[in-house]
Amino acid sequence: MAAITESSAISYGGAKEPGLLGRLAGAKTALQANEAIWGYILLTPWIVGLLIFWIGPILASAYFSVLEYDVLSPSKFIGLENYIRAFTGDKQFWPSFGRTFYYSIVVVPLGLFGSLALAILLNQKLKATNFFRTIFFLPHLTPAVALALLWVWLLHPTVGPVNTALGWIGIDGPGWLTSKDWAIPALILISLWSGVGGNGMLIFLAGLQGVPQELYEAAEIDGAGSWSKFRNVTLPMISPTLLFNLILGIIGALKVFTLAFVATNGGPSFATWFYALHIYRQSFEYFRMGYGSALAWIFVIVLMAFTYIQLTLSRRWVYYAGEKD
Amino acid sequence: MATQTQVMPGRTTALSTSSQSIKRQKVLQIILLYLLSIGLSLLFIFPFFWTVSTSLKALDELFTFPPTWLPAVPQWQNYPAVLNRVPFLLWTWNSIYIVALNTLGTVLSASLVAYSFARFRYRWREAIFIITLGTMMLPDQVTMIPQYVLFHKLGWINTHLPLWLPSWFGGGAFAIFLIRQFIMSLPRELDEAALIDGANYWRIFWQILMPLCKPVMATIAVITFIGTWNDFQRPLIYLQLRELFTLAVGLNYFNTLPEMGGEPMQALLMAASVMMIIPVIVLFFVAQRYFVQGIVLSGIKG
Amino acid sequence: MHNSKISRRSFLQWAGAGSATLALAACAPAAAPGADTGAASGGEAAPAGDGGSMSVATFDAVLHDWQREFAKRWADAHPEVDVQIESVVYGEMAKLQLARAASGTMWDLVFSGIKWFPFSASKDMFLNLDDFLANREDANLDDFFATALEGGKLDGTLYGLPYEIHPGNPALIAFNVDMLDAAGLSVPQDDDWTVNDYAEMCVALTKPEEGVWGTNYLPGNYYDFESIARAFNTDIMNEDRTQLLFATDEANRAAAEWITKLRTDLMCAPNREAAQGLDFTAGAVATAQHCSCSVNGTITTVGDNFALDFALFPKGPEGYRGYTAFTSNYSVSATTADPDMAVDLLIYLTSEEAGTWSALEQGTGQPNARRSVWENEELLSKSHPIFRRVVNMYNDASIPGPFPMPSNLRFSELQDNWANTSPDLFYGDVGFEEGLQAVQDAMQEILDLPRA
Repeated sequence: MAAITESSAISYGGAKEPGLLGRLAGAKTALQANEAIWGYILLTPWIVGLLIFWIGPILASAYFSVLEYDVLSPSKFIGLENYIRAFTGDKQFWPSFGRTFYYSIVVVPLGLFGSLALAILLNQKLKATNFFRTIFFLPHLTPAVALALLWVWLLHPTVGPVNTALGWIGIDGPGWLTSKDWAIPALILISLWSGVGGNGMLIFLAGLQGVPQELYEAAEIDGAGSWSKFRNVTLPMISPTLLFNLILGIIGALKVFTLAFVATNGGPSFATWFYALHIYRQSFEYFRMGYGSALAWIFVIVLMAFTYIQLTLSRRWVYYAGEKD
Repeated sequence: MATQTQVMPGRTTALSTSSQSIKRQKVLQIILLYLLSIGLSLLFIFPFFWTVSTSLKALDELFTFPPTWLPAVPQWQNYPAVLNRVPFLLWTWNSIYIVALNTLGTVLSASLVAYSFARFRYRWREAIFIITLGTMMLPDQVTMIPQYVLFHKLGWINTHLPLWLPSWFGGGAFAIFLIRQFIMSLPRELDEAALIDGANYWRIFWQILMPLCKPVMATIAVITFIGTWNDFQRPLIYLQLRELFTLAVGLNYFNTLPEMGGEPMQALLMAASVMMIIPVIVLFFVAQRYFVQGIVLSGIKG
Repeated sequence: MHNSKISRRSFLQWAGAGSATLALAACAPAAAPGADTGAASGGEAAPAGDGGSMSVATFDAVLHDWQREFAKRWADAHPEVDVQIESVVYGEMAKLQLARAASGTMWDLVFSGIKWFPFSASKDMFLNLDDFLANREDANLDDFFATALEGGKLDGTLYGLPYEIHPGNPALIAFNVDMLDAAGLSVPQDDDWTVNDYAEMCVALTKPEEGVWGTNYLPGNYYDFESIARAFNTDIMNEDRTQLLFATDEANRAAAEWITKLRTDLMCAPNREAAQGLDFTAGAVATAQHCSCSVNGTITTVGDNFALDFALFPKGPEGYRGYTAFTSNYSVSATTADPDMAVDLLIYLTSEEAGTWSALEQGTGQPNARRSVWENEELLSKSHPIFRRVVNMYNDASIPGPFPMPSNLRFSELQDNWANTSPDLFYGDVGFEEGLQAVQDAMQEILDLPRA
């Protein structure tokens, strides 16, 4: 009996018991063990990378945040002092957060609206759609540095074309990037110009094209006009893409750095001193890495909270076609 | 229509009039849409035009008021002049080879990792994948400082290593995600047929899956290229020697140069900007299809 | 299917692929230029002997070629030493020093601007020069201007020797003499005019219909303001550099008021928007704040466009004068292998010979900080007469000039706060008291912090 069992076991190969490693990997047969082990081996570069460049740094920055540390001198443990200083002693902490929020709250909805509008426009099946799509996308390809330089020049208060054009219709153009009150609106303008025809638009376009025609036809039979069709068919069907763009959009907007750094360097009068710029300054120009890490952690927590809120709220308004509730 | 005429004469007339007006409406609509598209296109193109125009202006044309739209005589020599003012070619080379290494590293290592996520079953796979996705949501600031300290201790500050080496360790969550989705859309039967024929995982990966993955690889390559070419913050903190600069940091440095003898440098700055933007635009035109496909893949199947 | 055999073979294949890619990666940077320090950045190496090695950081600009020239001359005079010369971007040097010091690869000879010099010195990056220079007569420390030498010290210890000095951005006023003539005015004499005279002159020179302003004076840096504070016989900070006296001291307030009035009251200077791209050499302002370091450059640029002249910044209302010595130092690394040799090179780079060469051959406007260089007759006769007057200012012990570094060495933060709060005040965008207090609070916040 034993001989027969053994031979049948061998001939079926896969019924063999997996080794220790295989069992650890959750395999139930040797075949599965082989697969599992190979799965891990292929994963190794990423695991290493994850540990060295992501998880390690995250933990390290939590550690730095309770230190007084510039790379040169030995570090000093100071407990929660960095955090206390951030919330109470740093004159630019709350304002820079506020500015970053103000910027994001305006840029993201306007950007989403703009991207969606452009996507709808492109979806109208005009003859030269591909050509227009390319043109709309070009600004997105511009490196942020070049973008800043370009627009500083375009928005020059006296000899820039923007103010000149405004002058033609009788408006006295503001100082834009040189003015305390108009610096952030100027940055918003630049972001919209470069972002509105970008990735968001393409994703919306794909989403729009994925809406089944039958739904529109059914709506038309019910006598729906264009606005009603939009509200009741289009919007719900693209709500997942809307959520996706919204989350990524907010995260991207809150991290605004290069534009502010190159175009205005945080000025004039702290007007564009955004949070990411604040962290950079504290860490790499004033060499207060401990404090910078604390600031970064506060940022992470806020971002996580924001994303969590968005995801929870999203259950109310996002409609996943084909999902059971 | 003919039958209608016989059955309901009055109605027909009404129908044909309204169908004419519908047609007119539609034509009007289309004209409006074209106008809108053209108008928006102009809006998007104008800043580029202005940059190129400025780059070809002579010194005394720069600050005239009202501004002139086109230079009187295009100063083509502004472009070579940039090369004399700053080591632009060196910066371009730096950007090129960092981008190449980054792209290669990302494509190669991300595909290995994505293969693992997509085709292999093992414990904690889902958890690790979710952590991977989670890294996409983190702001770079929180990893920036410790990474800097790490490279500092390794003595790699003021080398190009921090700018491309990390991408060889998995290529980043976005690339892994995209390729994984793509591989998952390829039928498993292909793998299984090959397994039965006695192929090992390497053969399956290299000879069966990778050739099919060309579109998504191209997408990743293009996206990585553009992302690295335009990256500013990381070269900013890692590079302090002028000869090591990439184009992004170099352009910023150029902007902060004190003017030589008080001469305005806008024309040269614009010329340098044009030279930095053009490779990306050219690449985009060439690889448009993949690029669009890739963005779409990431947004929808997510 | 024998799993173990295949896995060994395929493992080798994977490993091979993996190491191939890594090898490729390792090869690539070696093939690329510019990744090595000292080799590709225009550096030169003298034939290596057994005299050890010396690395020198030099300022990456044409006007500072003298540093490379004299490092080379020293290398030629010491053929047994392997001298490596490297060009570094001035703006990046602060961070670079930090990086190099932390990794132990600091150059033997390194330059610092006054802005970050004390900070670096406080981190023990530099050799204490007092003992080494005590034996060197050729160092000739008395030849240096007192304020310049002060800039090389931290807490009384000498860590660097100055190699250039200029009296500050607004040390001089440049005049478009044609415009002065048209308004019936003459170029003022240094000792003869005060800030109030200057304000009057600006009003007379302002022609709104032609888009010409009287002046563009604005202390964009807090140490620029120090110059005018000294002209009002006060100081922007208290003596131990821990308290800001901007809003609390009467004389400072008077100075701030004078500056603000130029734009809010007298309308002889442009507001924030009009100031963009305003160019003195193009004739948009009749007078301009000017540094002695760029006098030669401006003379070249203006050429024949209009008649040009300079004067020292006017005295305060009670006849006082001040300036802010802006210096750069060469220092020796604290970890250098051969301090005596390094000090030898240091003295050579900051010598009268080097300074005179840089002034005569290169036309730099901020030559060596040695009296012997500035008072060199040949140099003075070739340069604009203003240089002679600047030297006299340096030599006059009654005119204060040391650089106002805060005691906690947090220069960047202090300056950033000034740059972001003072324009509101001076441009009149906010009320006077409000603006004054905003600057005071922002700057004091930094001064209250512990040492960096």
